[in-house]
Amino acid sequence: MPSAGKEALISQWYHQYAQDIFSIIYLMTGDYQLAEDLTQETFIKAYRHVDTFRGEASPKTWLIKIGRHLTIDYQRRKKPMQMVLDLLIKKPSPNRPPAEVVALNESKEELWNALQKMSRQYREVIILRKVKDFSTKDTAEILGWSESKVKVTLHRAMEDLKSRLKERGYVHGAI
Amino acid sequence: MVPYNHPDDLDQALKELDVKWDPKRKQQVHDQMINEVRNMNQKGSANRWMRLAANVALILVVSFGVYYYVLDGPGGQQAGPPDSTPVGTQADSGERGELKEVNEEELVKTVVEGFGKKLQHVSVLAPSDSVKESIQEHYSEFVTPELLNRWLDDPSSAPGRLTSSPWPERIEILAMEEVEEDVYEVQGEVLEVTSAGDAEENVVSRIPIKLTVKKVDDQWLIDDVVLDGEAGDSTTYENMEYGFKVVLPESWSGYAIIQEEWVGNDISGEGKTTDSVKGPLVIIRHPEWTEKEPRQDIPIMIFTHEQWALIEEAKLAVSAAPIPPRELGRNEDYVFALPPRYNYEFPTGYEEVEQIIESGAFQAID
Repeated sequence: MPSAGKEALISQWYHQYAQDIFSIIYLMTGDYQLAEDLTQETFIKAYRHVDTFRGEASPKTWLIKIGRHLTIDYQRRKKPMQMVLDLLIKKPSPNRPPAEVVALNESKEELWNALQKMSRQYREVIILRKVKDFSTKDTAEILGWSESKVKVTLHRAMEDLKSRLKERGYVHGAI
Repeated sequence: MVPYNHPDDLDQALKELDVKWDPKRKQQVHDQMINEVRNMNQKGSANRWMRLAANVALILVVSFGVYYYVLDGPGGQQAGPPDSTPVGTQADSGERGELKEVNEEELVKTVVEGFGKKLQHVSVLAPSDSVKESIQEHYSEFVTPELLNRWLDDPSSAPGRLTSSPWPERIEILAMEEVEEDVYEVQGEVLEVTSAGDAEENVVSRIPIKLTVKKVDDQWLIDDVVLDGEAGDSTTYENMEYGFKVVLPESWSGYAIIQEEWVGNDISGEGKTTDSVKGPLVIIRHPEWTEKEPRQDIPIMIFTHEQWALIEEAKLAVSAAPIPPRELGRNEDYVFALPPRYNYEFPTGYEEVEQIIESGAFQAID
């Protein structure tokens, strides 16, 4: 595709899907600045590879997949460095919910904390299915799983989340 | 234990963890991203020119060598000036073509399909403030500010979700035409489903929709949306696939189309039921139809001429009723009919449907 066409397409996609990509990355990382950087990186990478986009998936799921891979790569790269930094600098709890995310009532904060402490798999499936309200099919496409794996993992993830909330002393009719 | 004091359930609490990106920051990141890709292009372009220059230099050196060796070598002749080839001409025109060729239709398709995915998130029957908030949140990125303001002023005019089930899942584009420079008219259908997924069997109705998409400040945005039945005084349902139309009263504006199948049995062998036979059944549903209070549908069975001949010969039965379907009309390919006893339960509106049928509202199209 010509570069002017690519730029227009990416710009259009940005206006339509950047919000979703940003919020997913934000929920995954809890870091506003990082989520902005990785969202920008997502679209730059999409621009580079848009010629390989065949339209089999929707642009939205394709872009979210790119964003997800960038986030995972970033977190993998960051881990060894983070361990050293954590030893050297006493940091506040990484699980504290960002003020921008929630209106910090106690139960929401606990929910955020519980979500952040879950395994990546569980966190991802909850973010996509429950927070972002994606269909099982789209979630499977984004995560590269089968639809049945999405359903089973979501069930287990929700059980895990409920038990974490209970451990923290929170009960609710739906839990 | 401390009560988990969220007003709703855990699902609702999880939904509320979603975060809205500051629009100003979002725009800034967009501008940075565009600058970045332009820089990439300039670098790429500079690299291309350098590669081109290197290639041209190499060709010149090789050509000169060959020329000198073959023509000007020992005992060679006086060579004339080498042909002057306009280097770079092709690249120049290629670059211009590249800038000119923008895949507008792909952009228009993106905005319409993206908008279609958002319809289910706007419950138009919710309290007005909540609808407005929802319209702002889900539609603002897809529509012009003028259209957004129209919907915010009158949320009931905005498209969206009417019931918990079925819900509008997506827009399928049927046709697209550039009606003037930077303005496209898109014809499509809103597909309503009762369970998630793209499978065709999940689709319970298709509502015709017409969208006007135009370019505003380099961005394609929807400027007008007309769901079928809202277009002027026309309440005609037209089915181009099988070739028929039904002229409906104004009260049917906003009707839904449901595609199902009729199933019949071959009863030619001494009245013994053998293999089942299937065919399309198109149902026109009144806009006020609800699961709790269903209204009379207009069901139209579609038969091939061969199938219809079997029905007339009482070799094919499409219902337990001892009467055949009632022919509404026919074209070169199909015969259209009302199912036997289609209004047997006398739901609300059955008299109106009878009047519609009797008024000659149905017309086959060849």
